[in-house]
Amino acid sequence: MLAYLMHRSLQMVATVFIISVIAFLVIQLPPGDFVNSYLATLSGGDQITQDAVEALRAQFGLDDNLLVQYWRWISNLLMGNFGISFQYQRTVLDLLEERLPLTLAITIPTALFVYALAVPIGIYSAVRQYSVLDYTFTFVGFIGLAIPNFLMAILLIYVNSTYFGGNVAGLFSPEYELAPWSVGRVLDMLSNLSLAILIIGLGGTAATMRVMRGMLLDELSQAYVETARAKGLPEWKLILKYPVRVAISPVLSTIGFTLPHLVSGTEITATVLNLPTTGPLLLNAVRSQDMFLAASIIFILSVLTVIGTFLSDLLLVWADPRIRL
Amino acid sequence: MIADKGPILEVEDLRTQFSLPQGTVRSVDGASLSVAQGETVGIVGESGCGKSVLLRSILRIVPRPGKVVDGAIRWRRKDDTVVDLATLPGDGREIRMIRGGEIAMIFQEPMSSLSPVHTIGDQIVEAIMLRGNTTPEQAWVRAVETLARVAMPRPEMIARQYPHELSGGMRQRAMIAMALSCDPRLLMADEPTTALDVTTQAQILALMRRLQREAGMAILFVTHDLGVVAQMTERVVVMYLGKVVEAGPVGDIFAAPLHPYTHALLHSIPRFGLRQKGERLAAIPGSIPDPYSVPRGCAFHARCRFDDKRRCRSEVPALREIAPGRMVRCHRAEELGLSGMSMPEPSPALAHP
Repeated sequence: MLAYLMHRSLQMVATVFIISVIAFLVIQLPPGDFVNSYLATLSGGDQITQDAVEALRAQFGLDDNLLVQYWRWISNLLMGNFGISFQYQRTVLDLLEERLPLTLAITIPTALFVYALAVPIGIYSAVRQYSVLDYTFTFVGFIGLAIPNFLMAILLIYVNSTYFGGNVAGLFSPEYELAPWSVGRVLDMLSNLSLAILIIGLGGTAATMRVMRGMLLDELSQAYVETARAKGLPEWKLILKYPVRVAISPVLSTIGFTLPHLVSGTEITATVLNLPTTGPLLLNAVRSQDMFLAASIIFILSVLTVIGTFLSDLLLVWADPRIRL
Repeated sequence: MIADKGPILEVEDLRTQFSLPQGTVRSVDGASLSVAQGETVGIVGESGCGKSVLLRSILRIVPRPGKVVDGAIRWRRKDDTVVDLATLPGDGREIRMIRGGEIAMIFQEPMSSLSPVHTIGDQIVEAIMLRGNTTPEQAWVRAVETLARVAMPRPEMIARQYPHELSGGMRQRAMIAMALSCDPRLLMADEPTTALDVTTQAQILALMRRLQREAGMAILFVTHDLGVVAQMTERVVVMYLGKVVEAGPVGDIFAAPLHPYTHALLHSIPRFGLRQKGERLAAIPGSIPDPYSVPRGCAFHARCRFDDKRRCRSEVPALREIAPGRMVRCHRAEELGLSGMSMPEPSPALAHP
C-alpha cells in the first residue's frame, strides 16, 4: 500500500508538470498576446505609439522567449506567487482569494446535494423498476439532462421575477446589495445560493441518478443477490449490502471529476446568474489572453483533477477488492 | 435413514406463473412432490422445465414478476408443526427464518453466486449472525469450522480471501459451507456441479453425500444429468414443462421407465460401447414448446413416439400412482412396456469418499 502511494505520488507530480507545460503553451497558442487584445478593446482615436506598445510588452515580460516566460511563471507559482492579472491589474492570488470562498460555498453543497439525492433515487428506481415513481424520476431526470443548466437558470429568473417579483440573479436581492451584514442579508444570500445550487446540481443529479439506476439494475439480477436472499436477509438490507456496493463503483469514479468541477465548470450558469465565482473569471481570462490568470486557474484545476482521480481510485479499491493495487 | 416420520416437505399442486406482456408463462404448473427426512430426491428435466423455479418457489424467492399462485408447500418445522410456505408473506420474518436456517440452497454458478466484494468468511458469518445470538468473534470461529467441515484447505486463510482468489471447486465448497453453517434440515441444490469440471464434480458430490450422512439432512437435488441422479439420489422426480411426469425410486426409474419422456431421457445418456454395438445415441426429437403456447392435451405429445393422435392430443393426462411409489402422467403408461437402462457406474471418487 505504501509503495503504491509513493508510486502514485510520483506519477501525480509528473502529470502535473506536463499539464503545466501544456496549459502554458495553450494559452500562448492564439496569435497575438494580451497587449494586442488590450489595444483592440481601447476605443479608436487614441494613437498609440509603437514605443508605448513596446514598453507595455517589456513591462509584462512578453518579449522574452517562451522557455524563460514559462520558467518565470512556474518558479513563482511554486513559491505561491501566481503572478498578476494584466486585465484586472491585481495579483492572481488576490482575485482567487476574493472568488474562491464563494465558489466553494456554492459548489461543495452542490456536489453533496447531487450525491445525496441521486444515489438514493437511483437505488429506488432500480429496485422498483417501472413503478410510478421510477417513471416520474426518469421523466424529471431526462428533463434535467436535456435542458442545459444556464437555460434552466434563465427560466427560473424569468419565472421568479414575473410571478414572485423577486430577483434570483446575483448574490443578493437589490435591497441587500449594498446593505451592511445582517441576519436578513445572510438569509437573503442563502436563499439565492440555494437556488443556484438547485440549478447547478440538476444536471449532475439527473446523470448520476441514471448511472446508479443502470448499474444497479445490472447487479440486481446477479446470482449473488439470490444467494443473499436465500440466506434469509431482509430485502432492503441485502440490496444495500450486496448489489449497491458493487454498483456504486462508477459513481465513485466520478468523484475524480467533481473536484475540478467545484472550482470551474459552472461558467455559463454562473454568468447567467451573475454570481462572482471563479468560473466566469476563467472564461474572461481566456478570452482576453490574460495569461497568468488563465494559466494559474487551469493549473489549479489540473492539480485538483489529479488529486480527485487519486482519491476516487482509493475509494474504488476500498469498494471493490477485485481492483488490484 | 429416519424415513418413517413422514415427509418434512410436501409440495402439492404448486403453480408458479410469470405474467409478462407477451403472455403468462406457467413455469411450475401443478407440481407435487415430497421429501422425507434424510432422503435425497432428484428432480430432472431439460432446461426450462421449471425445476429451478420450483426450488425458488419453495423458498419463496421467485424473481419478479413470478408469483406462486396456487398450491401448498407444507414444511414440517423442528417442533413438528407444519407451516404452508406458499401462504406466508414473501419477505416476512417467518419465511426468512426458514430460508437459510431450515432450508438452505446452493446454486449452479459458484463464480457468480458469491459476492465479489466480500470475503468468504464475511459471507458465512453473516448467515450465522442472522440467527442465533453469537458475537461476531464466535461466528467467525464457527465459519472457519464450517469451512473445515467441507474439507476446505487452509480454512483460516480462505475465510479472509475473496471469491475471485479461489478456484471453481473451492468456491462451491465455500457455497456449501455457507449453506451448512446454520444446520439446515433440507439442502436444495440447483445443478451444483454443472459448472464444474468432471473431477471437481465428483469431489463435490462425494462431499455432499458425506455431509448428508453426518448431518442427516435431506437433499433436493436438481440436475439435468441422469448420471448424477443415479449416483446421488434415492428417488427421482421427472419434470416436463412445469409438470411432474414421473416419480419413483431411482432404481425402478432406470430399470423400467413408465413415461415416454423419461424413456427418451434415459436413452439420450451417452454411454461407452454404444458404437461397437451398432447403436446410435437417441436424441429427443423436436424441442421444448414455446412457453407461451403449450400444446393441448399431453404437453409432450408432439415429441412423443407413442402419440395416439386422439386422447394424447385432447386430454391432459393426470398424475396416477400405478404401482406403490410409482407415479406417472401418461394415458398409455401401462400398455407401452418401455425398456430400461443399466444405472451408470458410480465414479471412483464416490465409491471412496
